[in-house]
Amino acid sequence: MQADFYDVRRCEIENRAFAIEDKKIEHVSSSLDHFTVVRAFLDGGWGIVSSNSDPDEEAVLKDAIKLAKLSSKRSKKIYLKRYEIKDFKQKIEGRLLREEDELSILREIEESAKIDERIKNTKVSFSSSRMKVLYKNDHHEEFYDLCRSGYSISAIAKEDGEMQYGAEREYGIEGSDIIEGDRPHILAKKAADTSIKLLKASYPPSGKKRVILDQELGGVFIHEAVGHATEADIVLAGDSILEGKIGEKIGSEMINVYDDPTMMEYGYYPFDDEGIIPKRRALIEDGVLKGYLHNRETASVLNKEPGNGRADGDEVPIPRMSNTFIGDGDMKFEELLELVSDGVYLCGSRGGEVSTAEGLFHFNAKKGYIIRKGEIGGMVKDVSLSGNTLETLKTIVGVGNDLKINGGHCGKEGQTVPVGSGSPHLVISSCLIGGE
Amino acid sequence: MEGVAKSSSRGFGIRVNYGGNFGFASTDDEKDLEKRIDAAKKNAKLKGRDEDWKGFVGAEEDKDKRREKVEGIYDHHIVDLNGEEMIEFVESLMEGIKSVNGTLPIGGEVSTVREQFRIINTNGIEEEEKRTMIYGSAEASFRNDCKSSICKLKNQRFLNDGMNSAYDFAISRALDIDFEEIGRNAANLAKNSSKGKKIRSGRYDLVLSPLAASELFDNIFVHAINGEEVMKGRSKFSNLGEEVGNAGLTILDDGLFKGGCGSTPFDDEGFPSGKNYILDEGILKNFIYDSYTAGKEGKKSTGNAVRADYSSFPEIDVRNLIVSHNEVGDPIEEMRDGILINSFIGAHTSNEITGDFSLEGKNAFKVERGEIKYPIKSLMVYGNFFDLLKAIVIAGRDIKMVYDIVTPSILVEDQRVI
Repeated sequence: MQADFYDVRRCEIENRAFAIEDKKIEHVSSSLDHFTVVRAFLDGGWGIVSSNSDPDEEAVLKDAIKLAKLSSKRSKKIYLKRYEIKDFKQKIEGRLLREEDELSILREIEESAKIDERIKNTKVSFSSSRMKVLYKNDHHEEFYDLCRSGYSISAIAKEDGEMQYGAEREYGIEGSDIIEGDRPHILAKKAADTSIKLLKASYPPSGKKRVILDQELGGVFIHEAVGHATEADIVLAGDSILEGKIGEKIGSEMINVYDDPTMMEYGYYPFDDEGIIPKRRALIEDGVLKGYLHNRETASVLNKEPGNGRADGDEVPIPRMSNTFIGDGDMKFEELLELVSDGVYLCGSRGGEVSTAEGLFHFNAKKGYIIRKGEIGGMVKDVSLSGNTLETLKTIVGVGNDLKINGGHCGKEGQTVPVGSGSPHLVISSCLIGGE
Repeated sequence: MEGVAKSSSRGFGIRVNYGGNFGFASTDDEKDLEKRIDAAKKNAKLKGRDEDWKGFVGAEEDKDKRREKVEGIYDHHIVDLNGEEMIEFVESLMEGIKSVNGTLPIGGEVSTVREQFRIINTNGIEEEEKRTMIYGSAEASFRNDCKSSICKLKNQRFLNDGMNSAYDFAISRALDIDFEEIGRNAANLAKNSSKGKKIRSGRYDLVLSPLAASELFDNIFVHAINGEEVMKGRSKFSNLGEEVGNAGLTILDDGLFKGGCGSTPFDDEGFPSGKNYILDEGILKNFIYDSYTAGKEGKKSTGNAVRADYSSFPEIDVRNLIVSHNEVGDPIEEMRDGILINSFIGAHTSNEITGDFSLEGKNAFKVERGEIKYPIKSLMVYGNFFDLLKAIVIAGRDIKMVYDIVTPSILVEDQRVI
């Protein structure tokens, strides 16, 4: 029995992680893992076998074909398209320092967060993951070697029985370089400063408000509320509000949204986990929905191009985002403030969730500021925003010219992958804010 | 049918007691063990001496505590399942969805796990156990297409609450899951949620389904009872003996719970599992500890060192957190004017330190005089978990195991809804 298509992915992953809390090294660990995953496609069904004990490839392929045969009995008979790719090899230099040196830099960064006696607890952590990926199928072979790393800093401030938390983090593909220079120290001070200012912050007014989202929160919005709804597997499952809307105007004309795996940000990859060399994709242009994100299977079904098939470890590659962002507009931040006049400025994200079928989203900001007469006023805490994705896209009335992409991790179906998401500052004319 | 997958992995997590601290490293290659032990030593050395580190769990110190067997965590029927039978389970999920008119499947999954683990240390600990697990989930959608020309003209099909989705799942360590019921539940919930109405802001009594309740316990309570967080002042809780919950509320962490997701005779450091009352009729009785944090506090481990897999470091976590209440009844019947919430969107955005949360409810229904009246289109619950603990007055009989949290639905009085 022969497969219609098969591929083999071998990975070797070397992780290390450190955490320093209140000057004490709390955590040091290192791991070395590898796995092989073989997929076979036959008559519309997939069979997938993975193992971390150097299996005999041919035997595993036979096993995978058997499973594919089993699943094909109930599958729709779809045809998997072929994509011609040349052999490919890339090594991205992400330099890693010696552990001792990384630790001493991290100690200095933690020190920068201790700006005040009200700061009662500080923590800095760093992790790096070096991945060597070998991909092959019946007609070509590809390889890359990439080091992703990141750090986070958190500070807890206490005063008069009140306790508040500030945190900043950064992820990239530059190895240990990410913790060098002034930037981590600036972020450490920022995290600490936020925790102290939140002690005296008030609750925001609740109800429908005119708001500005900063680049981080704007990025989370576009990733969660729009990006996920453009993943073609979600669309095909009937779970997306964007189903059947390609070519339709779904948002303000100021809105352009792209997904770009070729940008050297945290969501970068030279080829996806199905061996496809990716391209930048326009998701929304001038408010019109342009396309979805595909892996080989959804691209075959909808006759589009793949390049966003990503997997967490030995899991199955599914359509995922890479670096997803709203493109720059032409307004300065001051102009956006004037446009809002009276409202709330929401900064950072403490997490969020969406329901792609109903198009509902909910995010919590790290902090916010009251805007009065176009001027930034006092800080507000525990502020959340929620709404309907399509309504919100239509009510974006201002787009800044200061795009910034932040690294982070995205979870879907139990799989976590590194991504970048970003936006310039955005003005939404009406958004539901949760507060006191 | 999308595919059938199987995966196998094994590996070694190594901790060494070296130079006055412990170091951790892991590998999946047995040939590599010696080198990785050196890496663990290096990691211990990098950390430097730690006066609070009292060494590994010993077999001697817990001689009085007999290692008990846990029932119901291994079922050979799960191991014996073949691919064909697994596919039949997935078909049962789909049949369950199709049995509800007008609903469509978004997806469904059935998976099984067989795991075997072994803990050995130089203090004489030598433990071994195996477990099985089966999991099934289904997600369904219901489309309430607006066919009027005005709707089409305005292109408001989706804005008009055109589609609703819902999800249900079950997890067990024995082959006792009714897959068709999972599909039917998800489909019914999606269908019943359509044509939701808005409700007025105000204070309402809430019934939280086991899933919604578990989301709050998982994201806030588990953090608050973690001995390390308490010690570092990052928990709302500090003093044992305080009344922190409703006088009828008892919360037990039980590593020996029959068939529990987190059940094993010993924890991931080899410490014997047992019952640990966290809340007894509203009174805070204990926190949860691993051996390191317990040693630092001059206490004994509570058997709460948990590893996600061999490559992760043991960390403090609940085993099976079991929520119960002296008042048991049907919480919906007891409610005069309130809201039933099936799950929350974004429970992980809650503030685990202060307990504040503002969360969108999903698949929520208005309840009047003990009866479900209509679905609610969109609502946000704005509250504080620690206040909510005091307001839990009745528990249902619909106990569900949501991974390591086991809870019935609960009736919570007087919460703020926007």
